[in-house]
Amino acid sequence: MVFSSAVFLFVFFPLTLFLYFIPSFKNKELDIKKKNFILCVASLIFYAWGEPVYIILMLISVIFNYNLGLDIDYNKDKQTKKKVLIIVGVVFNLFLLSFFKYWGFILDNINSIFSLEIEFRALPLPVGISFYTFQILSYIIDVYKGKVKAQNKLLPFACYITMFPQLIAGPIVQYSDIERQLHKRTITTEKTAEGIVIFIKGLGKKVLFANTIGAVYTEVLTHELDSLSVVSVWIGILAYTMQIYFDFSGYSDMAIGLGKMLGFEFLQNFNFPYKATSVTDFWRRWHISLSSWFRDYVYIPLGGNRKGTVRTIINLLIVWSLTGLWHGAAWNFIVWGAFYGILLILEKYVFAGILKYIPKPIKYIATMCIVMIGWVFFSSETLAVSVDYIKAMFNFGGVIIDDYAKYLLSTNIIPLILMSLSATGAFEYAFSQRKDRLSNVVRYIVYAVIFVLCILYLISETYNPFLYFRF
Amino acid sequence: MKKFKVRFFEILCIVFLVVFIFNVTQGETYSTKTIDEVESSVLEVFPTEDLKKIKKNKTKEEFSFDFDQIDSFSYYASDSIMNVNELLIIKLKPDVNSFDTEQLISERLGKKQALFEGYAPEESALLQNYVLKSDSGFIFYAVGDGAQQSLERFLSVV
Repeated sequence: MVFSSAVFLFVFFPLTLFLYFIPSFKNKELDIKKKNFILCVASLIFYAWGEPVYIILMLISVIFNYNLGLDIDYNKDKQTKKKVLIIVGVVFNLFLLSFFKYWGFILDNINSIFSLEIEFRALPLPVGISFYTFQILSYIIDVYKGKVKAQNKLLPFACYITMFPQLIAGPIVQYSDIERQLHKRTITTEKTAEGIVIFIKGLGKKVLFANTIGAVYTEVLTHELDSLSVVSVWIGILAYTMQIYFDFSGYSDMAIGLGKMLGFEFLQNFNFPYKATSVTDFWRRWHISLSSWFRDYVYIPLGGNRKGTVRTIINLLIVWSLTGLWHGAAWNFIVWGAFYGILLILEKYVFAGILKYIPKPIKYIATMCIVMIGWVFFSSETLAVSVDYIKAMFNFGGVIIDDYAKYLLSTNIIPLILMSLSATGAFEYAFSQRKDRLSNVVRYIVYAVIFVLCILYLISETYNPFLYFRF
Repeated sequence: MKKFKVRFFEILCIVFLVVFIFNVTQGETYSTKTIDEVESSVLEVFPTEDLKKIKKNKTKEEFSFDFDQIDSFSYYASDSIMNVNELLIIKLKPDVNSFDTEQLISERLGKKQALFEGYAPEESALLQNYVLKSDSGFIFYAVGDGAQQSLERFLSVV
């Protein structure tokens, strides 16, 4: 079940919301317990809908880590025992992630390197395992460091891990950001209205923008690369650039909007990354929850930038390679991560002095080109395909523009302009300029129209993938 | 008592995890062979003199496959409508069920059988004696005189 499906929009969520709010108990503690219970049950149903088998895996993970958190807390004054427990916890969770996500990749590489033929049963990837494993790791590590107290009730803990708004595609919510809200949260009409607006914005981004432009990239890929002109290839990757942003940020918005309706405040996950004027700036704006997680739980524990230049460079390369690996069990993802790691290192240590003198428009165009090249690694099935695509992007000795490219441009120029304006925050800025009553009415009418258009689109279209589902 | 309870549940979860992993890993394995290895072996027994190798977009037109599910493929067919011989080997991606892809092949085969029934007895017979089999992440489909032998070769190589 995805947020942009009819089942979710018209059955699951309305029913959940109804049961969440009704009945409402005057006793606040009882009311929160009831809300947490409904949320937990709904979340388990949500997950089991798509993963009737792997729900067991998630339950095992929740119960194990709940007890581990308590165990670490009970042994907080015994350093050795505490250390052993956190190692057990990290190994357990990373084992789960590695086995179900990376086992085929690991065996493929062992077979290649050692010329073996070890066979394996290819397992479907449990939906959301990368997200909920990282959330669990953030919890047990924070308990170990004493940053948070272990949760002594299973229900709020299960709620935190299984919460359906952010379970399968983030944002990655650190326990410390949500701890208080599990026991006390206020739900007001204004917050609910804000949540609905954010949800509809996300739905529009996903259904009207991402799905539409994604079909363009899929169309380009049906052609052999050597038959495409340079402009066609660039339009293809531009389409993917837009698709992945609107797909993922749309889903994040929907998660944040749903959370708000339920009384939770999740942190922003995207801050108009396509406004970035450097790679460093881009990664301050893209998938903020993931980069924060890697900063807090990998980069800083490795020493961050406190152990000299060489060590900082090594740490950055490790973090970014792992970031790539997190996204997928394939070499092209690792290369994608390392690609950004190297660029970040160059920006920090080589070009830092020069960048401030380069005009902003040039920095912006260069950043966007780099980001688009990065997406080639991300979108391709293999490293070899990525390299071929990049070669085609810079094949200036071949055909630069042809009839197919002109066709793609003429049929997609308006959507691309609209998407560029949306991706760079132009609409947000326009909406924020006027806050009078009439503007509010217009704003709500616009969102109502967006919602209706999304429903019509969902009913009529069959192309409704969600790219980040594969993590 | 609390510490014992906590430790008990931790160990219980590990036991359940082991049992769960054991259960989900039972079943068909995923072959490590590449499409090129399987293709070259099968082509030793399947005649392709009148056939040519078909590219991705044409294959997609013929079968309407979802190429997001397909790792690699090899498809041989004839330009002539009256020549029904064809050979298709697909390697699916590791986490993909073969059902949908096999269904598309079966549907197309059904339409072809209906087309030739009643007026082209030789071609009809070849279409009736088709082979369609999935094994270890591969799907094998063949129509032609060498279909059965090439299936045996396919099964031995994957």
